This record gives sequence, C-alpha cells and structure tokens, in this order.
Amino acid sequence: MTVRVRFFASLRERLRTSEASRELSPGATVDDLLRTLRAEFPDLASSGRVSIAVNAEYVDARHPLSDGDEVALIPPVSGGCRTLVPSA
Amino acid sequence: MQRTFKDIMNDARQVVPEVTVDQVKQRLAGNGKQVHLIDVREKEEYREGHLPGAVSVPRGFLEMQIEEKVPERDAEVIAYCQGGTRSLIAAKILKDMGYTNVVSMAGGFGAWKGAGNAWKADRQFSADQLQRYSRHFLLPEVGEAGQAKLLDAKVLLIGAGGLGSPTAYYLAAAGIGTIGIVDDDVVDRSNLQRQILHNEERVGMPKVESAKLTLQGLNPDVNVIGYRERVNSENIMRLIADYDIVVDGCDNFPTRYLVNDACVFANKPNVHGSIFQFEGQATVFHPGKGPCYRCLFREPPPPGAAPSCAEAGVLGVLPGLVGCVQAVETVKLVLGTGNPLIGRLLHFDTLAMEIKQLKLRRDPECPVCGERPTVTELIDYEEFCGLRGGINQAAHA
Repeated sequence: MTVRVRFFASLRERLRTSEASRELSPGATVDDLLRTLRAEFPDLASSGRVSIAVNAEYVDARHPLSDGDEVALIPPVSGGCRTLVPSA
Repeated sequence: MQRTFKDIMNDARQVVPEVTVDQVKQRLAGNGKQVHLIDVREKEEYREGHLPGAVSVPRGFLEMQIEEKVPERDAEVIAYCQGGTRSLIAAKILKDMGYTNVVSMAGGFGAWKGAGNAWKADRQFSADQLQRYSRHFLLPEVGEAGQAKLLDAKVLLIGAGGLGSPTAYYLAAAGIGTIGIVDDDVVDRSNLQRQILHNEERVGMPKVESAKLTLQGLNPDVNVIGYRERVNSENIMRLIADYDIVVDGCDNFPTRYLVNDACVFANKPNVHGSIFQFEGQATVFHPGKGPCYRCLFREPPPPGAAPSCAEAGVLGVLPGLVGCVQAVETVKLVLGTGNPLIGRLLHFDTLAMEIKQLKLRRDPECPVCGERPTVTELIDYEEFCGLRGGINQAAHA
C-alpha cells in the first residue's frame, strides 16, 4: 500500500521537502512509517516530538495505516526559532 | 368611518383578554409550559427595567419581528407595556396575525414594579457606545446582551508582538472591557514589519506602554493593564488569576508550556496561536472540554534533539491572520456562541494558501490533563538558545 506523507513548518525546512510517498506492507502502523522515514531523513530522528495526523485526525504511533492515507507530520510551532532544554 | 382612540381600545378589549400582574406571575411560575413574555415598549424603556425573561419587541417593529421571536401561532404570549394601553393594541395586532393565545398585562410594567415584583435592568449604554457598537447590536448573536458580556470580559494576552498585536487591536475594538498584556520587551524597529500595535516613534518604549497608547486611543472603553514582566513559574498563576480567558501569542516554548500548564491548573481557556515563516496554527485549549498543548506535544524536545539555532524569518502578514483567528475565538468564547475551535487545529500555509483543519483529541496519558497526571507543578524550561546574548525575552513573536 502507498501513503502520502506531508511535512509541515520547521520539518519542511529541515528535511528540505514538503512531501514524500512511501510503500508499506499491509498492516503497517504510523510507527513503521516513521522508522522508514528516519532512515532517509536523519534530521527527522533528531526533531524531538512530532505530532501525527492521518487524514486530518490526530493519531498516536500505533495507528494502523491504510492505502491512500495522507499522513501529516507536524512539529510544535512557536513564534521564533528558539527551542529549549528542560532545566531539571 | 372615523374611528377614535377609544373605538380602537374597545375593539381590542373585545378580542384580547387582559390579565392582572398576579395572574401573570402565576402563569410564569406555572405549569412548565413556555410562556413568551413580550415587552412592546421602546428599547430605551426596556433597557431601564423589564420583567425577567421578557423579550423586547417594540411596538413599531412588532409585525416585522414577532414571527422570528415566536414562530408558533398557538404559543402562549403575554404582552406588556408601561401602563397596559400599548400592549392591548399590540396584542390585537397579534390576534389579527393569527396568534390565538395572546393576553395583555393590565397596568403594565408600572403595576408589576409597583407591586414589588422582581425586575431587571440591562446594562445602560452611553450614546457613544450605542454608535460604537451599533454593528454588533444588529447581530442577534451579539446584541446588547452580548456587548454587555464583552464589556464585562477580562482577557489576558501573553505577548504584545506579532500575534498579540492584531488580537489586542480587535479585542479592544470589540469592546473587551479589560485587556491585560504581559510583555517585558521594548519596541525594536525590526518588530514594526508585523507588530502593528507599535510605531516608529515608539522604538525603545516598553511594548506594554505602546500597546496601551494604541488600544486606548482606539477605544476609551477598554481598560488596558500592562505587566512588564517575563512570564515564569513564579508569576504566571498570579497573572492569569483575574482573567476569564488567556490568549497565548508568545514566541517561545518555555512560555507555551507554562501558559498551558497554568491554564489547566486554573481551569481557564487558552486561545493558542503560533507562527513559523509562512505557516501558522491556531486552536483553543479548553480544560475539560478538549485537549491541551501537552496532549499534542507532551514534552519539550530533549537537549540533544535541539536543532541549531538561527533567527527564523516570518512573513509579516502571517501573525495578522493567525492573531485575528485568536481574536474571533476569544470573542466567541466570551459570547458563548458558535462552535469554538476546541479539539480542532487550523493550520495555515500561506504560500500554498491552504488551510487545513486537523481534528485533535485528548490524550488520556497526557502528563498534565490526563488520567494520571505527572506534571503537577509549573516547570521553568530553559531556552536552548536565547537571542540577544542568551537573555530570555518573552513574547515578541
């Protein structure tokens, strides 16, 4: 099955593309998709938490994918470039 | 045939039963059936005092408005005026229009009030306010009651920058009576490409002062309270305590997490907006009614995951778009009208000019609003890379 992946905001900039397409075996989950994407886009692995929406609905990584799904990867967006580290 | 006033009154009495103040009281208290209480006096008279639950339909607008207010012709209608004369004539007109169950209250509001019954005065608007908000009054969803809510509302803006500027502007124009603004920054010339609250002459001035000048110049009804502070775990609960709604227009993650957690703890709606280059997001986090920010992004990224830092650009108009969405949502929350942006996130891509609506859901494992919360006190996250030599400046998105 094929899914279409769309990258938003800072991810788009870091990965230098706004979308990708992936062939996955039946029964694959969002997590499986992310694993294949990280192999191609190492920057994705270091992007921290990213929210995932499948067909415009937020899901968690265990969500099973279907042929033709549109998967949106949305990083947290702030107002500036700055990111942070926990103080603890 | 000439007909006198007396003739008209006699005709009306033939078909319209008159009821006493006490009978009206009984009917209103009565059997749970809906009774339409129609005040046919002029708007001014209604505002100064009316029966609780009465709907204002001035005699001059009676035929035009009654079908909207009372669609069913067999509904129970009690008409009243000041003394019982105008309502008798009005009730006759309603009878002629086919309303079968209409009575007029003898003695009118004067008798009602004179007998010591409860009555209600609406907020009195000044002549200036009647002009200023006239386009709101024309909307049934706002009207005078809604405008009174706006004037009584207290909204706290986190940040008087790119997002806070349009939000504050429109909230002030709408007549939000108390607008608090938290920002510790001063106006910089590079802000003026998007931060429309400020201007060339105010470069170097604290943003909260500049905001106050602009907003009170726009609408003297608005009480603008500036807090020239940086939001942190020590002050956030105090800052939000007096406000009904918090609008997050800050530019950094530590403040976002603080605002989110504080709003969850204090059970206050948080109208969220964020921007990046050409893209923006807006949603409403409403504790108990939908997800919070941590349902989407549980934790800030770990230290090693932080990307390198360079000052990001932003299209100057973009925060205008997102900030206006925040203003609309804030006004809707105050009015309690429409479908709020709770559990939905709007994503704007202005280059493609695509607006995506994403459905959000509460995460039962959310560390702050989930079933077993692990974040139970406020956390001051540190900036990975502060601009301006590491000094953290809140809120100048």
